[in-house]
Amino acid sequence: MTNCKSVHENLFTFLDKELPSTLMQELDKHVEECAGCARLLSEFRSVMVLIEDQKSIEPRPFAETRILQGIESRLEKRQKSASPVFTRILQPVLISAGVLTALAIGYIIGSDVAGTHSPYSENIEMTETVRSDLNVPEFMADDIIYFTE
Amino acid sequence: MTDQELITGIIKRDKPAIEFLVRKYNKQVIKTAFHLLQNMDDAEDLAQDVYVEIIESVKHFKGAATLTTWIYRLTVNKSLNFIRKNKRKQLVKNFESFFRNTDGSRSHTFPEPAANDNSLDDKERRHILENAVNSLPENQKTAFILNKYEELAYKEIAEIMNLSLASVESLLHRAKQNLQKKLIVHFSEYSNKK
Repeated sequence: MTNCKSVHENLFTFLDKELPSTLMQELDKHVEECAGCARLLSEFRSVMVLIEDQKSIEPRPFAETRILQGIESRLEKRQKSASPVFTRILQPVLISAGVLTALAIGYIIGSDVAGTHSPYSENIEMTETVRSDLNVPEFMADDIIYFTE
Repeated sequence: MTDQELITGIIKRDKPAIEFLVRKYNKQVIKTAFHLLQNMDDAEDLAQDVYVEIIESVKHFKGAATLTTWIYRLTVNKSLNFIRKNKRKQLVKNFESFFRNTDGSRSHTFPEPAANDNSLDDKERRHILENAVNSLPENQKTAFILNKYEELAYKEIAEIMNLSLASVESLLHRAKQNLQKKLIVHFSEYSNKK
């Protein structure tokens, strides 16, 4: 027995004619006799018409042009925002590394030069010469005098 | 231009290929975004996002689905993300307006019946329909829009939403049932107000 509940449960499928033919006929008959269901079905028909209207919606005029311009500017922005990784981070790092390398090379070269021409090295050579000239014996362990109380 | 030629052109960032892409898919992207977002300005903005995403990630497109399906999927995903972000913003707005004693949820209120009129006009009916569709769970709403507004077959919807055919059938059945219930409540409330 078809009642209001079965109409309420099958409004979309009834309007889409997706129900078995016997149920379709029963619902049809009920709607003819029930004013409430008839009104509801009429509202749902209007809703279906609205959905149909919405299907035919079109993009606004010049939407393509606006969208293409938008795409271009977004891609440009992304390219620009990608470059600061180099300019903000990599560039300073590379410059700092270069300066440090230059300093290190300078230090190494500097210490090499200092090592060959140091005034201290000359003094050592002179001391050795004087020692050999005077024939002073090498410092011996036995010569150590321990001072004790 | 075949899909493969189009993809090659987009990878090279050829301007004619990008223009062809927009001309070919604009209606599909705008319509889908509009039906999900209910706002044409937002739909156009989102379309730009979709195309930029296509341009930047088309090199990863493996051709498991058709280009059309892939673009549908991107549009749906971006639209749903947009809605989620907006919901959060709306929540904050509502919270703020609650303390300012103003109504921040005006767009979701039920429209007042037109005076001296026994039937709903199209504007009111559209508002009721929009609210009812928007109140559906995310996946039911997506399936319903793709099926009813975009007239896509269950198989296509299944591919776009990455679901089985049976899941789509069940989603659509539940969407229709829920929508029916919500619309019946709205229409009854509306006629009671008169």
